[in-house]
Amino acid sequence: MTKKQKKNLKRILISAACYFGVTISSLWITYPPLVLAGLYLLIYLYIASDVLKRTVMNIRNKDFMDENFLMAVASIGAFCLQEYSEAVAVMLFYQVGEWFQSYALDRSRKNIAALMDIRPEYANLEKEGSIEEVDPEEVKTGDIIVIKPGERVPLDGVILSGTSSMDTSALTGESVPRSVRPGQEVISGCINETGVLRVEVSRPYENSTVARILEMVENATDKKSRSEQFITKFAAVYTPIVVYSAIALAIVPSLFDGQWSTWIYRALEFLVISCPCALVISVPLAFFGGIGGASKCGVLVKGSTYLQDLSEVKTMVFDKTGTLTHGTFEVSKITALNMSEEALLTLVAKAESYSTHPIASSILRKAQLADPKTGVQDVQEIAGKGLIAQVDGQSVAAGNQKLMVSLGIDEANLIQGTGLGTMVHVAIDGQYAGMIEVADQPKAEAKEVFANLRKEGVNKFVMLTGDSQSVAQAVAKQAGIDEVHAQLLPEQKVECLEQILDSEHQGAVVYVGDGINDAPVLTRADVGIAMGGLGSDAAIEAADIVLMEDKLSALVTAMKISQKTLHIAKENIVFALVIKVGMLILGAFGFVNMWGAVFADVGVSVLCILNAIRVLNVSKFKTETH
Amino acid sequence: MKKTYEIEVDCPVCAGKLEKCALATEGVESCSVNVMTQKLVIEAEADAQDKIIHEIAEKMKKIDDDIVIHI
Repeated sequence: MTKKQKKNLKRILISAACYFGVTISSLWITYPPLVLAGLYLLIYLYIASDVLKRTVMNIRNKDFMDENFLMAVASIGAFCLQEYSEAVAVMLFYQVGEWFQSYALDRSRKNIAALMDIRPEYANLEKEGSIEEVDPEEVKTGDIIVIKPGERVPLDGVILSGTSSMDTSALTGESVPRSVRPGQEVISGCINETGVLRVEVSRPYENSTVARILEMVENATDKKSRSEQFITKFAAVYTPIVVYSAIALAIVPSLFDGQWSTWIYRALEFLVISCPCALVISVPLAFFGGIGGASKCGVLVKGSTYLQDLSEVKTMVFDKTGTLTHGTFEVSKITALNMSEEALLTLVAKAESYSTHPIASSILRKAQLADPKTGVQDVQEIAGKGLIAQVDGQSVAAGNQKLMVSLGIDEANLIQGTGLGTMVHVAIDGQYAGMIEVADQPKAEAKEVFANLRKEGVNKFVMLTGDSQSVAQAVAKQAGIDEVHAQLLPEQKVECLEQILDSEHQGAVVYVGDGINDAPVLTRADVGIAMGGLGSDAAIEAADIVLMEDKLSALVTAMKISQKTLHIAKENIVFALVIKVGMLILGAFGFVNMWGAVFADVGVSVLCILNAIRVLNVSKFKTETH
Repeated sequence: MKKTYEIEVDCPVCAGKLEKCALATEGVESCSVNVMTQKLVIEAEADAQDKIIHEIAEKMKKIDDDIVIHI
């Protein structure tokens, strides 16, 4: 409870006690009418003091159309109509409601903020052999910090010594810890679980991962969604309309039947019911909750507006390499002539053991030799063709078609691959021995993820790639992509996306990429989503939504959260409007008393706030998609 | 230079008042009030920041004393 809430609670309790004291005692004691009025007036002035004070301030500032004014007019009106007890009771009830509203809002705000609280409190700075606890902002690049088990990594850096496992769940939503060794990078915001680490700081705090994420998420609510803008605009025209209607309600019928007090009283109720608080507060709260919940699942959303767009997406455009595929080469096919596939792989792996080329490392990974470099001599790299090496006394040549031709092997004899990857042909002692095909593997989860996304309302999947048509088609077929645009240069990707944007009239267009070389496309899309953003500045910068882990399934999570958020926001709008309009109409015909009117104001607000907090219950979205 | 202040505001209506007041204060280039994170961000010349925030706090006392600005 804040100081203000404590103060208000005390005032509510004291005046409630006084009010019930006077009311109950008046059942036995007959107070003179003036004394009773005086007692109620005293309690009223006490409980309504802040409302009255603010009303006076607002009138002085000529900007008085808010709930304070409405409540003041309504309760003073009740006094004028000699409904003393009711005037006090209604103000008391209103204050109770306001108090609950403030408390509920404060609690939910804190709950959400706690979700996002990955701010490190301190860093253990190593200084001439001793260790000092300092503010992370004071640590400079190149300084050495010590991170003990259980502590949050305060700054980005490289491990000098120590091994440990890292809990990255605060950043990625991923619960499996990552193991780290000297030479590896650690990312601020993660929690060090097991070992003591000495880390050389690589970036100052304001550029660290944790600071950038915090800034992004905290400023996210500044970028208002269309629903929020609608509410703001709505509130601006709503209040004047209600006030004029109330004036009309007080005057027009009274001119005909002369019952001024009845109609004025109804007009006052009308004013109280109409307060737009529930709408004004609960819609942004739902979005704030959605952003908080998403960040808990490793999905960073840069603005409420993107959450709304994402919920309405009909077309999703994907980059191929690194997004639909792993972005790393793997051996996909081995064909050996006159020997076992394994023997061929071993020979080639040994020949390639000194190479750092991605294709060579994929072959080495596949072969998994304990000691690949033994027995390898005279490695001769032939640029643009491949290499020749002496392995255990045999001459092994591994490379492309050109290399084989240069060894005198007939092109027609070479084995054809699937066309999806890069071919490594092998010749042993000048004889063609087979081939190994290396390809960028499509992500296995893609198909399932796309099926789930279709369930969420996406009806078109498009792939953009710079790769060849045959490779693109094969990946698309495996994942279930509807439309493929291949052999695109980077600038053509933007043009292609623009055409898609032009042809899409119903929903938003999302582009999903790795954020490394497709920043222009990311920015051009309605919603740009970067995958695997952890540690990649470019991705965090260019995208509207960042998936911290390189997992397509996070797309489903993000979409479910966005839809839930929108659903709750709409629920609140509809609920509040229906209750209010209904009560306004009933009130105008005299079917609602002042109590009902106050409930329609603060009661509805509290219910909307409680409803908005439901959006935090997002953990189930995560488990469903794993 | 942008500077962030912790504030206590309960509703977007009050936030609107604060924003209006801050923008009307001399020297403020831009400002944003965030109800959800309870923050006020003022963009102004670095040496004027102190004077500006005190001026805003002073003015807010007359507009709505329910809003607390932690300076």
